[in-house]
Amino acid sequence: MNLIDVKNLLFKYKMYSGEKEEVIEHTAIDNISLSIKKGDFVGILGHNGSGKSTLAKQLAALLKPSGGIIYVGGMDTAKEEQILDIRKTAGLVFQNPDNQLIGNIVEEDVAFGPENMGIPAEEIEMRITKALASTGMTAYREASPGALSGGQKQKIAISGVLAMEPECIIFDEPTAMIDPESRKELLEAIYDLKRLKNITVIYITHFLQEVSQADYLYVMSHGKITLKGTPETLFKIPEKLVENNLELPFEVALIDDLRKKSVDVPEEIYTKQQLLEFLKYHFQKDESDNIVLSEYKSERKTISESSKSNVKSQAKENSRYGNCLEKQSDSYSISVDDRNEKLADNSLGDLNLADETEVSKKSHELKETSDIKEDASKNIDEPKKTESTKGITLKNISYQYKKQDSGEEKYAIKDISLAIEPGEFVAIIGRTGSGKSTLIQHFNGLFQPKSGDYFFNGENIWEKKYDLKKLRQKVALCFQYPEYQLFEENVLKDIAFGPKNLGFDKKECEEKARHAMQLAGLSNELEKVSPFSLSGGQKRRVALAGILAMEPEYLILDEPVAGMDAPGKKILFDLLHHLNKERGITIVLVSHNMDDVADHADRVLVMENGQLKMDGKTEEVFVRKDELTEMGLGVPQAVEFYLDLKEILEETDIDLENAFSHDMQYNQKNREVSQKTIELSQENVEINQKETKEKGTEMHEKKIEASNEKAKEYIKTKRTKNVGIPLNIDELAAYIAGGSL
Amino acid sequence: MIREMTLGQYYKADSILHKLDPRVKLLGTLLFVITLFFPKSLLSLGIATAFLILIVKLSKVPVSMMIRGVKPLFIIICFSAIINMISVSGDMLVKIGPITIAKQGLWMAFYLVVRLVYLVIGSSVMTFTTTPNQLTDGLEKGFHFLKKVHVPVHEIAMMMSIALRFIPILTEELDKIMKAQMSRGVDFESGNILERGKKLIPVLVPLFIAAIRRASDLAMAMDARCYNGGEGKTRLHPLIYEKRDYIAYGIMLLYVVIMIFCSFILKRFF
Repeated sequence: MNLIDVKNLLFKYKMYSGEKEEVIEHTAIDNISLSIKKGDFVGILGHNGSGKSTLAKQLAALLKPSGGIIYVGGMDTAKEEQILDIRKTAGLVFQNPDNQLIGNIVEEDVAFGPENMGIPAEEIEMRITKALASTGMTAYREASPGALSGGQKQKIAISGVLAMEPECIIFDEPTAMIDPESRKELLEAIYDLKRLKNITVIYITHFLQEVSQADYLYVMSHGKITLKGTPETLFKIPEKLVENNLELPFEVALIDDLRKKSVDVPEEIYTKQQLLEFLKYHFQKDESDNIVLSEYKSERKTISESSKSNVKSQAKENSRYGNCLEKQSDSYSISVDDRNEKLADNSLGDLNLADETEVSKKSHELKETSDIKEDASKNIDEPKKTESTKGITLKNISYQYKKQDSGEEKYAIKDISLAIEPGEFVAIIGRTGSGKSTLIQHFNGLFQPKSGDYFFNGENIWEKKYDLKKLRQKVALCFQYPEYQLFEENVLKDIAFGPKNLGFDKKECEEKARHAMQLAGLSNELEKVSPFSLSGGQKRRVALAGILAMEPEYLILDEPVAGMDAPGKKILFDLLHHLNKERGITIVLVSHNMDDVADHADRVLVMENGQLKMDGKTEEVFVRKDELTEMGLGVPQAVEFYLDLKEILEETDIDLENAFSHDMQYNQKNREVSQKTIELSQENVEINQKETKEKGTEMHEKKIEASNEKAKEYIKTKRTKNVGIPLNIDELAAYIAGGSL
Repeated sequence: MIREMTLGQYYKADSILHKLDPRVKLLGTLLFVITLFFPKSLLSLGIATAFLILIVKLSKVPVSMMIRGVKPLFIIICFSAIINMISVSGDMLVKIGPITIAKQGLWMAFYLVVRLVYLVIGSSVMTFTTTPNQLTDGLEKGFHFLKKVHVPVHEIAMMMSIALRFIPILTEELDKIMKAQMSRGVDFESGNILERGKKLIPVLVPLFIAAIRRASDLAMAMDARCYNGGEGKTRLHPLIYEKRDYIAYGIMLLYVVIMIFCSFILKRFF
């Protein structure tokens, strides 16, 4: 039986356009038909502005259709007298947790719905108890909503709807405004509604990942339904999903990438678990072949691989050698002999040339990596002692405040020392309340530290003479949801506000504003448009342009992509990279999204309870998964997958295990193995070189030297980034592809 | 400043005052405030003091919390006391230049300070022991009779309740907007009054927009939860008078009678 039937739904609304000074009719929903079965979990996906939220409001009878019909539980939403009954049948949970709680106490809020429905007091009491129990919020019954976290507030909102005992609950991007740590928990609670209470769930989002377990999915774009089907069928056509401006779930993107890198992932695989199983089998099969031969081949193959994956997969190959060598020293000598035989056979063929250069390349690289590792273990946890005159330097900065209720002192940040140099791309991660935002507000002098010193370009900014305006021009701070700070009548004026405050004359201000608009990718047609008539993504870029117009050297951003869909996110990150690489602007990014951090930042600072717990290169930080998990933080999905895969391979006792562990564990044993590998590889090189010498080809030798030089150079440039683990899908796929045949 | 105000803050405790029906507390507060403005006499002031001490003790709210509530009003109280002191003429005590302070003026100032402080403490006893929602419930039900003369009692109560819920949220928002504009080079601390006023535009416009956005969201959320005005609405904690409420009414009546007696009748004999 269908609970909801939508037939040819049309919704138009009128909006005043300040630009053309006329009323324009927009079509938000354009001829949509769909049906939702009772007890199903249905996902409705779409980019920002695709009309999905409007559809949600239509389904809950909050908006009336301009055309077509919606039946909810057999009732027509266009009929005034049935509206309350429809709302009792289909409850709605909104995006913003703060704007939907009415009560000043949790209990009162949950009671709001039933009270309106005219339910007697005793039954309301019972319903509250039940509703709070099913979201696990019983302990907060007497709490004030203001004291709860975003995730908890959303659970209260769900309880409030549950207390109305609806047949169906519609969720309109419920996780968009809460931090990822509580996102997972909330999602589980929502899936439980369907599983345990048999409530029909309609889940609206732009995150495909969140609805990967749904029964059915609809994809919307520009007011129309463009795709529909089960997650399984949709995940098999990733290119179609991307066309609809959706971000692929991690595993779907990985499978897609693996296929592109010619790993034959069977068509029926689409979940992470399946992929892991497949890869296990895949590697097992690989194992049964002659290891040395297979590696020999894969080595040849990887040479032709993309340059990025090259170094990494070879490092892995190499440690594989090391492992084999250590474990089976007999077979090693045989394999070396084998190889040498082959080399000899191949007289002057390209094959052995390539082989030699590879080996020498590897030995260099391994040396390099072990050096880096030692450096890293020294550096982490120990702030830099040297004071650089350029950039931001914090020395033992603390900020404490008195708690309002108890009057006890609490540290927002405690004893933080760090230096950010010009041109860096740094990310700050940490749970909500770990002091990230207090820290970044110190950077541009919004907070004055209670103790410690802050030097900017070698000057102490809290000296009396120092002009804070000058600092705020150089170190710009972009708060979360910066579009909420727009206020001027047109875009150009708003962007020129910063330069105006800095004392530039009108012409200069406009010039700077135009330049910033161009930089932020805003066409100059928008100059005279009111910022409030723009789309969410555009608004954010206007706000960012307003900051860029001050021509800062340091740009600090708090969650710049919060609430944005895939295309909007890409535009923004591309902009940040452009600013960083081309304009030399230092970027400091606060983010909850580990994938974004891994994808973009070169350096990561980890905050916990007001203290700086880690400071290092991105891969050095994410390698420490256990510590991060303990802090309630995640690691990028690529790292997570990599570790899971490694574990599975270890379980099955595949000899390849070390292939994946070498970069992961910085322990002594591994270092020894690596050391041995280097020695052995070097031996190998020597042997080969001897051979070639014996063959008496000087030209050959030169070639080797030349390629050795090249390899060295290559490694040097690569050293700055990505020495260790794969940080994103691309690298991970290259890794897996490189290790397979 | 808003953050420091304890007025309108609920203090969780288990006392007889917390359990009382909000209508009793509302009426009681009103009567207490009225009696404070009875003709000045030390005797009636003494009775009011005793009554207030008793109430504060009964409420189990720490006295320090009460005093904190008075603090933000300190300047206003001092200011009005000084005005009173110098503006009332009578038996001259001190003369400094053109300013004279009379004995009557001192007394006036003394009464004024005591009355204002008692007024703040008296009403904060009510807000400390009553949750905002109980309070609005009490107002709604207590003033329900006004509906007959077309006063939208339910709507006013609802508005008050929502205002209370959103004050802290908007305060936070204000703080954030100010910081964001400071980051764009606004200096709120310099300039004359006109300049400073101008600088508030980039703060107030986004703040109002935020408030309107939130209001529209909230209205949707209320609609979605079947809100349909006060008609047919039931209550989780319906207000029903109990024995203790009647007793409280009795005590209040007694207090008022004593106050009237001391301030008006007894005075005639002195």
